[in-house]
Amino acid sequence: MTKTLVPPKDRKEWTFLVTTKLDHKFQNLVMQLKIMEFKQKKGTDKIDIMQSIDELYELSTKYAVSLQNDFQVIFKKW
Amino acid sequence: MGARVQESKLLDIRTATELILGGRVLVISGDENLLERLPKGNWIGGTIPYFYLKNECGRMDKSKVFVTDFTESINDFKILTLDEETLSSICLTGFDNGFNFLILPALQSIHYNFALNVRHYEDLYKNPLIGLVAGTSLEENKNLSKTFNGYLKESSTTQAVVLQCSLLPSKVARIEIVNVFEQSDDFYIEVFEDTFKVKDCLINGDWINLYQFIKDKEVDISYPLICDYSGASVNVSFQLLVNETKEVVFYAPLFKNKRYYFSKKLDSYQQSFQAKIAEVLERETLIIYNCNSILNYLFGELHKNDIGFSGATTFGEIAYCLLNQTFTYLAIDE
Repeated sequence: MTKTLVPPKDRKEWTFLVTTKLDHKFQNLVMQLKIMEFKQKKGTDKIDIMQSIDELYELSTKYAVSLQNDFQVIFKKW
Repeated sequence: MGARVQESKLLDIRTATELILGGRVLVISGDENLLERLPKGNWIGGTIPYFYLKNECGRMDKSKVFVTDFTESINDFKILTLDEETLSSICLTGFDNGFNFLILPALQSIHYNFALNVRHYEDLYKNPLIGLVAGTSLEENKNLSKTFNGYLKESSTTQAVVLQCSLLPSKVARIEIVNVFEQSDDFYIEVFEDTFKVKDCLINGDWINLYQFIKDKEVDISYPLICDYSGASVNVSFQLLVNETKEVVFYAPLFKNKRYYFSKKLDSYQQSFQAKIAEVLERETLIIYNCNSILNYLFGELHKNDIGFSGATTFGEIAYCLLNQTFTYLAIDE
């Protein structure tokens, strides 16, 4: 079976990333800026976790090729 | 494996004209008088006469234009002129998969508006938003920078122009930056409103006049302030210190709820850049565009040094947001 490039959306690490409980420094600029956006929304009522995961997942899918090292660190196996 | 870098070139006006007449899709930088002479076609441009060059020293050149040819990389394109009102929809009018190349006129209302508000633009991260702020000769401060919509053969000192490109589904464009400056942890600055001008601010938690602090500590303002955006080092460069009002003016805004640090001293811009770019060249497959700041051109004396790339300098780099003193590039993944 071929391994998919992006870890499944129901993995808890996605929640940790958007709530910034997991402070991972991505190598990719757009992911860094997106995580910064989540950090700024933290503690405000502006953050919708499901929507944030959708947005991050969509971005991760687009840039999956360049994110493999980051995914390896964050998700280990999928 | 090393990255393939698509070379952009400094060309005479006749060669640039031939490319335009051949239907090529181009971004062109150069002196205003040359850009005015180019024919109608698939190009956008901005005034900037300073160039850094591979295998030779950089220079100010008013006899040639610097041309980036995107024709072979893209699938489709459109060119739009944007005013302050329509600029915020820039990410909505592009293609499903591609990139948007934006040129802004320097130190105009649209430049400030973009810098302060781009983070609220809808679908900002859908496709890379890359580009530059146009400028003028530093010796002839009297002229305003200009943007050019070659498709309509129009120029403007107040409006932006964008080249929106689509890519084949097998390709993805990605913006990355190379920042040679590193933050020094001695002092951090906080402001209480989003602003280009700072008078009083918090420095390490104490309420202090920034102008006076810089004078007292003899801070070298050729180095930028640095803010950490979750791993991305974002620079904000000093524009000037205003003696009369004791204010400090920046080329990009400082935002509230962020901490800005002074930079560590560098021995050599060129050496620091080479150390960082080596990793980039190892990691990337294809780079189709790069630009570097006029402040790095001056700071790194790129008129005497070669950094292994050719590009037009900028009066601000666009990488989703407005950056200062940063080498910016567009990579393609397949």
